[in-house]
Amino acid sequence: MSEVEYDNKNKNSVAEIFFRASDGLTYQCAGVLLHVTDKKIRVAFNAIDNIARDYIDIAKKDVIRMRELAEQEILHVGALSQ
Amino acid sequence: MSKRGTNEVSNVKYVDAHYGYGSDFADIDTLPIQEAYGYIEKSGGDITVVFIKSPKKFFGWPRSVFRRRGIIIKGLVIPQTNLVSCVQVDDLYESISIPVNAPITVLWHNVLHIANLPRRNSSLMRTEGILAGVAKDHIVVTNPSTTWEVPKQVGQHPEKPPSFYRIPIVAIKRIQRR
Repeated sequence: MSEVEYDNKNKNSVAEIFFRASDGLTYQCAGVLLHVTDKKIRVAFNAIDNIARDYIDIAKKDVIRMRELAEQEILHVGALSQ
Repeated sequence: MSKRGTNEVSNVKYVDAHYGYGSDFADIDTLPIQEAYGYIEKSGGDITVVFIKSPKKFFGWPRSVFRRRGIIIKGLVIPQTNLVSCVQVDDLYESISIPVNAPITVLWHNVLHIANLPRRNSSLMRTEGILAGVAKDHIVVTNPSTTWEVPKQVGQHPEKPPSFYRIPIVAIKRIQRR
């Protein structure tokens, strides 16, 4: 699995992250936790066929607060009706 | 749409147009479903999926814009017609009555990627070309020339003319034979 590919076997976590950028300001984002190493996390925002198109790498030292979301906390919009 | 707040994290599934430079346009029946995560806002006929936002900086924009909507650092504006739940494929398929190989003009709503912009509405595009096929949920236009209809913008999209465009039928506002 590449670093931009969603994990179909183990469902990816969705998280909300507050972080500090190089300009010293605090930013807020939400997305799929795609890739986590000792030093950085990769958060994906959108995907086609499970391949991430837009994502951001955040150094762990810049993360102010991170919270993984439970499935019931995520609002689904545009999901196929069953 | 949700009654919850704009800080609610959402998963949005949608379809989008795409273009290519080869001749493989006969290979697929349906467009891939795309998905995005973020904070959503509704604006007219569009929804904005906010990927990254800053609650603390004005970037020189009018204070009122910030107060009303906040600053989007990165996000997507998606026409509500492009949401997967809105797609009524069979009816739309029947609605394309123009014969294949006819020259056409199509007006269609495009998904917009935004970065450091206060804008919250999708673009209306104009594509002129040859109707090369009608698939289950999209049309294929060959030799397309695509420009911005609303808001007006100089140039073509993309800059290098592609050999074909796939346009979701749900995104079409008007299609006519030239």
